Amino acid sequence: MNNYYQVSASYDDVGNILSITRRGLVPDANCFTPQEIDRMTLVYDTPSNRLLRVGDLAPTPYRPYGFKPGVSPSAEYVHDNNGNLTFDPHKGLMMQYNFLNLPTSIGAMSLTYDATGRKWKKDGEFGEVEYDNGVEYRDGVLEAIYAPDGRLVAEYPSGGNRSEGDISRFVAEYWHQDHLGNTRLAFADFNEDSFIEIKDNPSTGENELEITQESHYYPFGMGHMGHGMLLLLQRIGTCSMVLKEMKTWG
Amino acid sequence: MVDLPDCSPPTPEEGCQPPDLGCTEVEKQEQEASLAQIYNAICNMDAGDFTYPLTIKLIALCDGSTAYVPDTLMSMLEGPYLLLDEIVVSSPSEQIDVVITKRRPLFAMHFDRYEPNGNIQRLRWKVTGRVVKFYEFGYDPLNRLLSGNYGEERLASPTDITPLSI
Repeated sequence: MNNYYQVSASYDDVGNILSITRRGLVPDANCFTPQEIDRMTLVYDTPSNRLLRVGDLAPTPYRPYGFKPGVSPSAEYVHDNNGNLTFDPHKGLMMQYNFLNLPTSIGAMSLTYDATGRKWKKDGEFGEVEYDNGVEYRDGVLEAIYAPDGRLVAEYPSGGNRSEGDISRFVAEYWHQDHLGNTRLAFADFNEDSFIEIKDNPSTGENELEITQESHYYPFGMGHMGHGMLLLLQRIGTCSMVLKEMKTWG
Repeated sequence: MVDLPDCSPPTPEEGCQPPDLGCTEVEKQEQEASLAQIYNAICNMDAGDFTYPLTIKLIALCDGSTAYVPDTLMSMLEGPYLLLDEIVVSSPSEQIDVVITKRRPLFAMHFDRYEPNGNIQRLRWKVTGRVVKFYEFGYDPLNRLLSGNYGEERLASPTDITPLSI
């Protein structure tokens, strides 16, 4: 049990989370070291039980990791009468909602829905993204087609035009999801050899790796940082190069 | 969501049991002894003694466990073994943390212990190329999640069964 990513929490009588502490790997000169990154206290409004304030008392150098207190750490969250969050002091974001209680703006991003609550459009610094029955367009050009276990990503010639007639191929990207629906691993057979390459061959200049994303999570949410960054040579230095892994088969 | 591979019962396609190497007791003991020698040899080497690119073999042993052994020391290994995979480290500074076994799923997750009331005590998961990671959960009397202790399944040496902490 190395407890790199340990978590603990406490509650009040009605089940509100009063505190969360988290450990995590943070970058340092030697790569990453495990540190306490969050020691959060949560304060609620009575009798609404809406979240008012979150403080983070983790050691100063590590406080910006995990929960980010931001520029005004003691400011309060603001909600509208329906309980929707309208101001997040730590992120400095204002939110607005429509009559379905769906967000129509989050900071500089605006979102458009129809009367049934289906999302059609998202506008922001990333451009204009439109959705139509699982098909995603970015700035008017086809970006990807979504399915329950993955998506088809449109590829365009590099440096060329980005219009639908220019699509060179669709790359199928697949997702492994966990019981909560989080995507934990994404992969794609880029070179179309029917085999998913799980490592890069260092003797070639190309990147053969076909795992495009992996995610690990804390029990109360938030992704882990720093996986796969341990130095193998640290192990050689500590005589443990011959690693036996029990339960590899179990 | 895909079905999570479980070890009971193993499917024919994705067996959870190691292949039977058919080792005799004598072979098992010889293999254990040779692993200890490899271990000692590594302890007497400095990082600079390795030449790069360094190839490291992942092998299945008589006792069903797996081990990483540098290619240059494989000749010291006694007894039957099964080569599962190899990784190549191109320089001493390469950052790597790899456990690769072939024919394993790219992602697998398993709730493998429960309290009598159904609370999950342990969650194990593995992404290809990484060690098995797990959380062990603690609950209060109202069944609220109190803590998640994190660990990785990895052993320090052939004789030491304490999980390695780096």
